[in-house]
Amino acid sequence: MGFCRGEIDMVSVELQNIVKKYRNVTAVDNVSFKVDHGEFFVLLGPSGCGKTTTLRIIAGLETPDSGRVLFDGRDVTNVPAKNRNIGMVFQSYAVWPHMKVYDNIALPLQIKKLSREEIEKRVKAAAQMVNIAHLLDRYPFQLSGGEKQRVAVARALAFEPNILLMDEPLSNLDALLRVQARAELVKLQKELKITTIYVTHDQTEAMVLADRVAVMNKGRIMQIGTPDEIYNRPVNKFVAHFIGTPPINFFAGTVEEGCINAGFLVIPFKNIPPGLVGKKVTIGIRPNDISISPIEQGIPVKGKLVVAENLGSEFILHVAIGDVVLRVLSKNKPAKEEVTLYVDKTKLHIFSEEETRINILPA
Amino acid sequence: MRKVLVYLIAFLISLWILTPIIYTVLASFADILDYYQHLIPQKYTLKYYEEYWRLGVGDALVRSIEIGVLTVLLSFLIGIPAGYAIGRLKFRGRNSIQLTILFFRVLPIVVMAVPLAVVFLKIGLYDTIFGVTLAHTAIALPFVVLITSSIFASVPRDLEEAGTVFGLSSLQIFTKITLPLVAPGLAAAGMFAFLISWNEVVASTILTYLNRTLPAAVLAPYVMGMGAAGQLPDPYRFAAATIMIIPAFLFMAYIRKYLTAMWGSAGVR
Amino acid sequence: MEQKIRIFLPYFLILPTLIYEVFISAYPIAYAIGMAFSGNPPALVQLFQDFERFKEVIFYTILTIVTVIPLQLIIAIFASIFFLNRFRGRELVLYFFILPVAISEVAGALFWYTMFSSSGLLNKLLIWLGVIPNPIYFFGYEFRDRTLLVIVLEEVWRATAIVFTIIYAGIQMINREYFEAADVFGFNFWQKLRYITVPLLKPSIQTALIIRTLFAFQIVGPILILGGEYIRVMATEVVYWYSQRMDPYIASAWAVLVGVVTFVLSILYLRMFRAGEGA
Repeated sequence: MGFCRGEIDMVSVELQNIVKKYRNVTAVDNVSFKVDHGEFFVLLGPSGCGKTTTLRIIAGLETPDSGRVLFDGRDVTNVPAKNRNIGMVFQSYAVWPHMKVYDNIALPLQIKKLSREEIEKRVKAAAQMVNIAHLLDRYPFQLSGGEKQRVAVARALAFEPNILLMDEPLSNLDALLRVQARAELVKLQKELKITTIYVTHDQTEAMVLADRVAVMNKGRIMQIGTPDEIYNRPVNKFVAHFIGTPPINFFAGTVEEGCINAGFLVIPFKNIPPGLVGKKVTIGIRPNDISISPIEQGIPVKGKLVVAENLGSEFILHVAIGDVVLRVLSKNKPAKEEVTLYVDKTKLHIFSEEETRINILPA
Repeated sequence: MRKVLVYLIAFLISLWILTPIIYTVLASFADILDYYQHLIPQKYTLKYYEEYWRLGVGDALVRSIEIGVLTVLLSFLIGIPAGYAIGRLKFRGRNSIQLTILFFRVLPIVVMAVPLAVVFLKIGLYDTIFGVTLAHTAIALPFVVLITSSIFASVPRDLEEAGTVFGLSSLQIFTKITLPLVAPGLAAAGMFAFLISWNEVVASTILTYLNRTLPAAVLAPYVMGMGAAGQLPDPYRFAAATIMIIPAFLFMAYIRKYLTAMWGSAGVR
Repeated sequence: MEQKIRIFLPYFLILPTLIYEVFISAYPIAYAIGMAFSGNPPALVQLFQDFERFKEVIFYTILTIVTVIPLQLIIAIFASIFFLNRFRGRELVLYFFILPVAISEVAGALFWYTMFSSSGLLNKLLIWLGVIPNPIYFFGYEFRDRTLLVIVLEEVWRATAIVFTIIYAGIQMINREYFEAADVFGFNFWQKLRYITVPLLKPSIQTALIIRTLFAFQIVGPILILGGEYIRVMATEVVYWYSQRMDPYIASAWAVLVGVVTFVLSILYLRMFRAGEGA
């Protein structure tokens, strides 16, 4: 494919207890994680959660107040960005406007003092990989957003860095382009096997792209895991709510002997820890784990259809049961206002008053 | 390490800018013989200011102030309507007119001054406060128009429209809504016009003979070729410099907030 | 009727300004050109006749301009980069740095006289430190070359702030990420400066150069106060010939030369920067 992967060392990245404060705000609060060689690692979270700051600390654009950054075990915390051999794709692409596309990709290689032949080889190969070989002679102002984004990627790839960092590279693209670019990124990363750390607020992107995801909120890491783990075993309410479209339904319940009572719904559970009895909990169930036709393991609940949002291929039904409104993802719209919902009891998530997950199984 | 370098440079910059000013101001209040002998003068006095005032700089100072104020008034009178038109009204040729006004400022004052002097001599405006005011206004006018036009442009239309909705007449809208909003900007423009006049030296020198402005008065001995004999004695130089920069300090202090606004958010990193 | 007023209103409001400027700025300039060409031989030609003096004036004019302006530009660029750093007290230091914008050339000249006169700060400091036994003279005919140094220092001290204001505004508008990308991709300080900062600052540099050059040719204060009669530039010749020699024709001739030179240089700047623009 044009790249000699043998020359690029795959590198692991480790963060140990990184703290970064701005004035009175703690942007990054004791963050630690390790990214393995060749892994596609996503930092996911709402804006202001500290994910971009964390990325910039890895890049060397910011220095942490405390904690260490290690590349393959080497402490690079105080190494300036220019010596870290990373490739970065910025949110605004940062494609230098006063140079042609070719020079944008080539200049970092010139700085590295590569020979002209080598530079030309790499630039052409990188451009080929992201399909912009025909644009090399153009200036950035002549390119569309999607094309500029690919220039930024090509520039990072041609650099043949040890680590690839990406700061919300798809967020400025329109929806259609985003899906396309996402697929291309997956393909690219699998081929090149560069250790990649990717920041986004879009949970769909994270689920599709990541080998593992770190969900962040308010400067802290909520959970690190594969997309599957994050989705099916969210460690707290925040993660459960942030992941999944449409978002998870929450309603309140109280723990009783052998079961949890939510008023309209009573679910028997095994192995309830004794200390939990009498405590209030939050119960979560995803819209796609509720059905309007009977399912195995489904507990029936009667309610009234309030709104049916038509998404084209399916509906989001808002069903009211007393004070509680549950969103249900369904292929069909129920004929009548009175609906019976079937809640999949194996897919219930139980959260304590402190909003952390309680691991108990339904009976 | 980098931080240390940054603070060091910041300190050096401050030193570089402030030292000439502070030392001169200090010297202006010092007994001159003591000043000659010691690095830091030990005896201080106000007598040079008094003498300087009596020697005629008092008159020059007053004249500079008068001309400055008149310049502000005149350039406001002529320029604010134009600034309002450019800033708020839509009309054909607006861009060209803006450029033309800007172009007038490009014309060197040095070239204007001599013919003006010649003309003024004929019509009796030579060596008068009004004559100098006319020249200073010509210099300040383009600035006043440009500054006020951007100030007027920055008043959100909704505020004025709300006034219409609530039944205010055009004049009331102008005085009760627009004017208070533009007042700070206008004050800045006025100070700027005053400063231009206050600092201006070429036209002031050429257009006056006996009735000099302060800068012209300081420059006069050199201009008249009086050689070493006519040179201003040291203490008066210090005093003159000190007096001349007072408006500068005031203006810059006032303008600080506007500059930060103009420069956008104070840098990242 | 109301409609007609509305259409003509803007022009009414602007008219006084235009009329004023035409009478007080434009007409005198035409008059000056007229005076410069009048006389027998024309005043402009008379300038060349005293060739020694002419050479001297041109020499000193070029010398001061060519030394001062590039210095100011370079310092302004570095200062702009410097002030992008965040540090405590930055607002204050910025205020100090641009304070000279409001200071007149006459006041500036006086301040630097205080620094370099025989009883000035520099001399007294060096004597006090024991470095020199007697003061070093910077002013006077024999020391003309040293005076030039003081003049250059004064202009750099005072007018760099004007150039800086323009460049600093320009640098703020550059997307921070262009610099960060350069950081990430291994550029050192000088490489960033050469490949990213300066090219992206071109429009601001162009504006700053034009404005600065425009005014640089009209500076008389420091030349006269510090240099006395020993250093002559084009602008001081205007003042000299009018005030001392009472010859408005030659004064106009010099003034017109100033105008022509500034005009030509501005066109050159515009051309120079247009050629470099890629976007």
